Amino acid sequence: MIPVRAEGVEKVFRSRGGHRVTALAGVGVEVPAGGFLFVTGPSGSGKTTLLHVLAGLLRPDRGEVWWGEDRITGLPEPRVTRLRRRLAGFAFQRDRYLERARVWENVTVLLAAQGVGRRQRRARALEQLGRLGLADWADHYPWELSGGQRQRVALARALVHGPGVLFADEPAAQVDPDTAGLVEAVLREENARGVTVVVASHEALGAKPGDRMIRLEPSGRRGGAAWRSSS
Amino acid sequence: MRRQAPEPPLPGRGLLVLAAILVGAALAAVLGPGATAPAGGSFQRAVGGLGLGGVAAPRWSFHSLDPRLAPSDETLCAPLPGRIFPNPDASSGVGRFPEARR
Amino acid sequence: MSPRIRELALMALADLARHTFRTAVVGACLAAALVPYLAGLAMVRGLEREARVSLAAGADLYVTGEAFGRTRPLDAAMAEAIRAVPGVERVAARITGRAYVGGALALVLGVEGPAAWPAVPRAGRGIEGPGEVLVGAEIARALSLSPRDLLTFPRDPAEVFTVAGVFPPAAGLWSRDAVVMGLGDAQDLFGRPGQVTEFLVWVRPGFADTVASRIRALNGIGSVRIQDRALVGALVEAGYGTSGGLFTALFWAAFACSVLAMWVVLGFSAGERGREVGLLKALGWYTEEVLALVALENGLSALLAASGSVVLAWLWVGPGRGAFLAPYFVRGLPPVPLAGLPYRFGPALLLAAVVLSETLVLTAALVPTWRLARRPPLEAGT
Repeated sequence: MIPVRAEGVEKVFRSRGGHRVTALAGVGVEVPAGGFLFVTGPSGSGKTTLLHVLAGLLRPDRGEVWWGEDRITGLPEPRVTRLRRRLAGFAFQRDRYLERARVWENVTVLLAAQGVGRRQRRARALEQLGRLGLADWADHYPWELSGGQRQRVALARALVHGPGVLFADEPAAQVDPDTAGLVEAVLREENARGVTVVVASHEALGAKPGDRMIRLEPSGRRGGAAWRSSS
Repeated sequence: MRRQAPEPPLPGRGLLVLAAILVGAALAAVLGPGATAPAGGSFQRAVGGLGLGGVAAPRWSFHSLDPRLAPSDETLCAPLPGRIFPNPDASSGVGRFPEARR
Repeated sequence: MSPRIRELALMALADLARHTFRTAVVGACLAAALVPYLAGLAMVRGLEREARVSLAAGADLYVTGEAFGRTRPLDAAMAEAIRAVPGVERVAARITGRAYVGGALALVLGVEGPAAWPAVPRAGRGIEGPGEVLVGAEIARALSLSPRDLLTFPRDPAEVFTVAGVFPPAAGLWSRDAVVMGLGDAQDLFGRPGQVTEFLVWVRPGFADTVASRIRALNGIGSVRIQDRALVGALVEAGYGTSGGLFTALFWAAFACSVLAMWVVLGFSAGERGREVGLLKALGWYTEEVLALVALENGLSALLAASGSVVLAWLWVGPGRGAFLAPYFVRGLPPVPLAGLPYRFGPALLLAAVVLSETLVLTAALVPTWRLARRPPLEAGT
């Protein structure tokens, strides 16, 4: 059970043409241990960037990010990697796969580095893929899957090592309502086990009482601070 | 209960077999009986030592390869320090051979 | 082996198998540079070994006549005077000359005989009397000679020799163009009765210098030059060192071209590699694990290339007779020799091949990977 907190996060990207694009400007969020946070907003509002910063994949230009007692923005890169490996799972929205490895191998790529044997890795991959309705696709390659299937593979990969905090970037963006329900059910199951869940999506579909939500506006304008659902 | 699909073979098994074969063959090439070609020892003993390699036919500059046959090489063309020169026709060449102390 | 290393090694193996084009091109680039190098060095070492065999099989002192700073024949009768010098164990007179035979230039060897030639491999028999010769493999091939055939030299067509035997190519490099005959026959052939080109002198250990001085002082021998075994050995060392060095210099020039080609190939896959490194780091791989994976993958690739190169080099100089390469080392050989050159492989050559390949490939692969792996994951992958 890991709480996640960010204060005054700013992130500016510089294009090759020299343009500055402000992705985040003074964003602050807080998710308690075992909490559920929706990061919503239209395209280009900085949802993915915020998720990357919260997960320690990107360093903000300003501001701080805390995982429990660890201020990850102040730690050197190897320490952040060590923490992320132990505590976090990240389901990317964009295609990030080892394209020449099979789906189940992609799901368990972190376990390989941890020395988990091939047979055990496969069993754990099949378990996670089964939860997301993809067991039959385990031996396929990522390029053989649809966009929605690939996103579920990314989710399975984020869950396979049992993280304490899960970051999911648009996990149900390209799927039909039934599959979206399946994805949401898996996220809720994990949350019920105590996993802190941070989800970026256009809309906070399926939000429940007790969930937190932050809405971002484009050009770095923050729509609101950590916001507690009133429903 | 869902039956688990059989595990596909490990990719690269063929490569491992190839690697084992190649390493084995390389070891055989450098350590086996074929690692060294015959050096003509019996012929050399029979004629009392002749030629120091590097030339198969007694053509231009062949004497320069064996100071036992001729004390000097008259084809000297590009001396280097130590009077050893890169004989273009042979694997070794010496401009002028030293001789036993007088 | 620790489970982590084992799993990383299996993953590296799978990566290699999946990137067949990259693996094949890197292997081909390495082999293109390594195979000629290994084949050439094996030949240099083989020639050097044959030279050392020649040295060991020869006499302690070689005495030749000198006039005007050039060689001249010696009186064969001086053998008795040399034999009487204290410390001398054995003296043999010899003629080494060259003469055309049927359009081919042959090394004519006149040796004291009749020699039994017991141990030398040959077809036919040894020299048993005057008028008999043994011919080398190249001469026999050029003139289609077999045992019992007749042979004449253009310089004295009236003198007819009988081919007693033919040396096979394995009898040694210097046997291939040789025509060996009795000392008297050689004197007759060159029109120099009673003369020889050198004396071979075997001495008791430690007597070489003393005997050389005594020989120079002999009445009637005239001006001579004397080579001893140690001097010739030093020259062999220097000559082959130069030869190996020159070849190595040429090799490094070719190797640099191959390196550029390989780095270009690796550069083509740098984008994919960057994305992989970024992904692995994002998923929680440590920098050292990423480096270990890349090292294992490329280390195995280099091992494959090095082993394959050694095997190909062996096939080239052994069964392939060093075709198109041997003439670079040995003057007078056709592009595809009748038989292979002396060659010598050994663990050192295999080690050199492995070290060269590993250094090159690991440098090319690990440096960019290390730079990528140190950056935050999403920067490395984009």
